[in-house]
Amino acid sequence: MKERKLHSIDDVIVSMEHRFQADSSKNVKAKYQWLISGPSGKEFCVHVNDGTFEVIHGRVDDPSVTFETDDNTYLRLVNNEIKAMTAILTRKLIVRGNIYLASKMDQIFK
Amino acid sequence: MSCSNGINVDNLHRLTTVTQRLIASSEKRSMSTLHDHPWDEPVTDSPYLRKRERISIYGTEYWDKAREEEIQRLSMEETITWWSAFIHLESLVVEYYMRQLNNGAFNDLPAVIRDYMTHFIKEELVHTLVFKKSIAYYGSEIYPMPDFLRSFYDDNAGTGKYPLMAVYLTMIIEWIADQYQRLDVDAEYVHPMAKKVVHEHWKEEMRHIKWGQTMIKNLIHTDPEFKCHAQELTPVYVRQLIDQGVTNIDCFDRVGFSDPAFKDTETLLDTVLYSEHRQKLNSDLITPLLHYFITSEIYDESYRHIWEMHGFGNDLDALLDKAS
Repeated sequence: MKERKLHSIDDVIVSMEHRFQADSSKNVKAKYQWLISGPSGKEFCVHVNDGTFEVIHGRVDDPSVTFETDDNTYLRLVNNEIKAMTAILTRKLIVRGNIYLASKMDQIFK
Repeated sequence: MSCSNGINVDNLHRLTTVTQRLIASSEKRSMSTLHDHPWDEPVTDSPYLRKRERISIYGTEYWDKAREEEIQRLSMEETITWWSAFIHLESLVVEYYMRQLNNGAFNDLPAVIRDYMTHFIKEELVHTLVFKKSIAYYGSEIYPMPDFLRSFYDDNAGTGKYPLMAVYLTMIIEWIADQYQRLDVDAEYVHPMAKKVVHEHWKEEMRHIKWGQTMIKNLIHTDPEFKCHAQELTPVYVRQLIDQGVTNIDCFDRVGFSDPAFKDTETLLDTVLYSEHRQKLNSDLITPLLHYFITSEIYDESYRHIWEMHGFGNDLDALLDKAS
């Protein structure tokens, strides 16, 4: 079945509930901070904690991984309209932090 | 049998022997900022610093859209961007390992390891100076530091007693970077200074890489968490490094291509990263690393799906078939 296209950051946050892979996040304790700029930008953190997650609005202290992008690129990434590597190389996405935890992100949210 | 620091005696012996050999070699052959490069040779007209087949746009439709002088300039800028990355990385390496030494991170390992670290740090420092001189030699300027490097060591030190993750990640970056560079200058027409810079660096990095490999192989069992993380993150990390090594969009700005197709950097990058030609170059580059991952137990069959997901399935099969 084709996934429904997500049109807003709020849509994406709501969709996390069914995209979350509890098994893949076992033993993972990480704060994934998103800093999204632009007219509909948002700052939030996905706190993954050993099989569960919660979304915290705003910035948190000591994130494990920080992703910085703009609202348009964020939605294109989530909807698979731009590859993450292309976004990184064109500086539309900046990833900082723990490489191991960053590498888990794709497995935690499908 | 284990020592008081939890390391198998045979492993410790192997690590010590290899380290002693590397120190002896370092004392004999360490690079000089003054004497090992032809600094007084004038730069010839329009030098190529990279083999044509390894320039990012080779084998794509962009090659035919570029003028000869633009291609030559791109060969220069794509080499300078690598040298800039080395300057940034190796400066951080020096700072990080000096701090580790000062904080006693290697104190319960044989003293020869600390001796090696001082040689290693001195060599890394010389590399940054040589790369800076080389960029100036070609009348160019250093590229800014890639964002992911800024807090690289603070974020990725390790989980156990030794900073194994930092050692491991540094070794992989240096290995991939040197593989790129060594293959890049492998043509007669590549300018002699570029070849010399790469070859001298490669000779020293081979020692550093060998030490990093030996350190990981012999200490991997002291830190099961490191082993597990390394097994899981390596395919992702290697994929990122290989792709990020192909080019830098700032190089295209510096060249200033006249064809408007070069302005759409997203399409340009998608084309160069995923071209058939690039896949062949990537296979040549990754083979020795995959061999190491298999023999050092970094590659584990249970993570095979991650390797496949990142495009290494065929290259792994070729090596595993050969081994069996």
